[in-house]
Amino acid sequence: MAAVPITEVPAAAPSGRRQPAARHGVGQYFARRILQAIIILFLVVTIVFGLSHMAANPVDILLPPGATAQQRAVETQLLGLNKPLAEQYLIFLKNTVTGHFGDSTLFHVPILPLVLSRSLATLRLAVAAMLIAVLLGVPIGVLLAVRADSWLDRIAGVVIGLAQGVASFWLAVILVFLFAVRLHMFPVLGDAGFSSIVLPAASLALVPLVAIIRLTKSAVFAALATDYVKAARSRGIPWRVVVIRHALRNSIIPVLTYGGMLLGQLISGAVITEQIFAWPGIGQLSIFAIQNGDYGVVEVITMFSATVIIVLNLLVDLAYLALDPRVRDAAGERR
Amino acid sequence: MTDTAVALVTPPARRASRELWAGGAIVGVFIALAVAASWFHNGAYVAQPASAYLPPAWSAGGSVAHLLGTDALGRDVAARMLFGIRESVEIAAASVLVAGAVGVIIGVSAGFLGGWLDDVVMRVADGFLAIPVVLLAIGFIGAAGPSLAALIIVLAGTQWMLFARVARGETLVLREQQFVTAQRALGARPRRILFRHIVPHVLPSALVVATLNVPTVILLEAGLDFLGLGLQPPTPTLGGMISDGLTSITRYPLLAVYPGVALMILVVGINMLGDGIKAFLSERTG
Repeated sequence: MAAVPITEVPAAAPSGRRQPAARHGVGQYFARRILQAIIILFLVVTIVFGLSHMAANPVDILLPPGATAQQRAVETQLLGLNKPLAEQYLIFLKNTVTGHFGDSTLFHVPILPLVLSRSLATLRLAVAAMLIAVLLGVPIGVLLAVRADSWLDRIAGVVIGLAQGVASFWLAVILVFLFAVRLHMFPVLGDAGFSSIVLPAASLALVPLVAIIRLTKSAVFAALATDYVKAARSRGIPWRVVVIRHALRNSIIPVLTYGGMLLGQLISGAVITEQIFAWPGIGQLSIFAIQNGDYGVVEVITMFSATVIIVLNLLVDLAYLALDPRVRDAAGERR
Repeated sequence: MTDTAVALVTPPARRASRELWAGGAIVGVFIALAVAASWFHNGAYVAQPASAYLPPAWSAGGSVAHLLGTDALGRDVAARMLFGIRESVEIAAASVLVAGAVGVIIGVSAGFLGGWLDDVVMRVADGFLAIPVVLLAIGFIGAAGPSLAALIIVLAGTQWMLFARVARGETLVLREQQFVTAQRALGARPRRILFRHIVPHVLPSALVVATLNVPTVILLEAGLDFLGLGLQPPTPTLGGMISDGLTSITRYPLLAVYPGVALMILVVGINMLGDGIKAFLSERTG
């Protein structure tokens, strides 16, 4: 939904000489990166605990407004809220590590399995959106890089500029009107086979699509100006081959790895998209839960999504290491 | 076609000033509209002066009294949009200001003091970055109840990390600059170095982050309004109007179109202004 801030393409570090010692360094980098991910996970749990305690007293939420002092005391005891904050925190940590979050007050089933089963629908939606974004975004980006400063590029620039101002939920509303209400091409609500994923995935794809077009364009544009492209060109290799084999191949890695990070951010956008299309994923579940005061479910969804994002970022970093020898060398040389 | 890589591009200086002017003009018009809203239509957005679903002025049955027609409750759509734009801009500005102040203080402290504090602060920022912003907002506002304060806290809470990261990075570079070393050699106290030599140099970058951040916050806030977690009815918001429009989309689709278009122009204008400021500042600093 919110426009993803386009950070710089993660630049490949200047390649150093490849030394045998680099191997050892890579292993260390690996270990440090995993440790870092675990620390961030721990902090996410802490943040969720802190915010949920800051936001409201659960007793007020669970009891009706006219509750007596005695009822409040019983409820406080029951929830363990009379214990010192530090102890509550340790219990929260323990429950998180063991995966025992208790039951949903709304569905009366254990929270974790509920969230995990609903997350599959969200995953399907996110993957579909990402496929649309990559399959459209990369070719468009390459085309715009090759035709830089043509009329095509200028028009695309205006369209992309406008697209950045389009809220993805507004796009969803417009798509519903055009394709479901007017043209009857797709079902409006729910999850009923392939045709029902098209509209939600398309509206969710907007933000990553714009990001991927911009990233691909700038990466390929930079690659086209390099000496190896000129060298390939001067060897008489056809332009089309040079663009795809030399320029694109060398600039695609940051695009694809950034795509991995975007996939994580899609979860945020999916909340509203799922709500509009009644898509039975964790986004819809989180809204339904919050409207009914089921805060445990929202906490678990938040921590689960953060875990997915942290793991994805970790995998992206490690994939980078595997795919790009220049990064591998740089990681090895860093202490 | 072969020499597209060296194709002529518009000199950056001219493009920057063009974006600065165009973006500034759009944002200026919106600010003027927002100010005008409070003068001309005071209270009109909650009143129910007309019949429901009047068409816009240019189609049959419309009148100039209601330029964009009326909504399901007979309220003037144009007036509500003006107020919605005002709310959007005010809330986004307040949130970014809070996020910027908190982020810059945290980032500069982390970069300047270094050590374990730096590690802890930056990892906490990573933790916040890993939490999907909409879920953070849903959890917090859902529990604390929707209010203006909760909205601003939560919006700032999802954005301060960007400022902290940039401020920290700048501080790390500045700390090693010769003019800072010189000050230190002259016996300047850390506090003087911090406030006279580091903070003033961090602020321009923070300004760039802020202008690029406002559109993000506007769209995020509109999304929360759309979900019913932002400002509560009858206060008009662009997100809320799109949500209302969705309920009558089969018969009156335009009601969902207008606020989205306003949102788009507003965001594009601020984006252009932000890009313009960024280019302007990077030109000046070389």
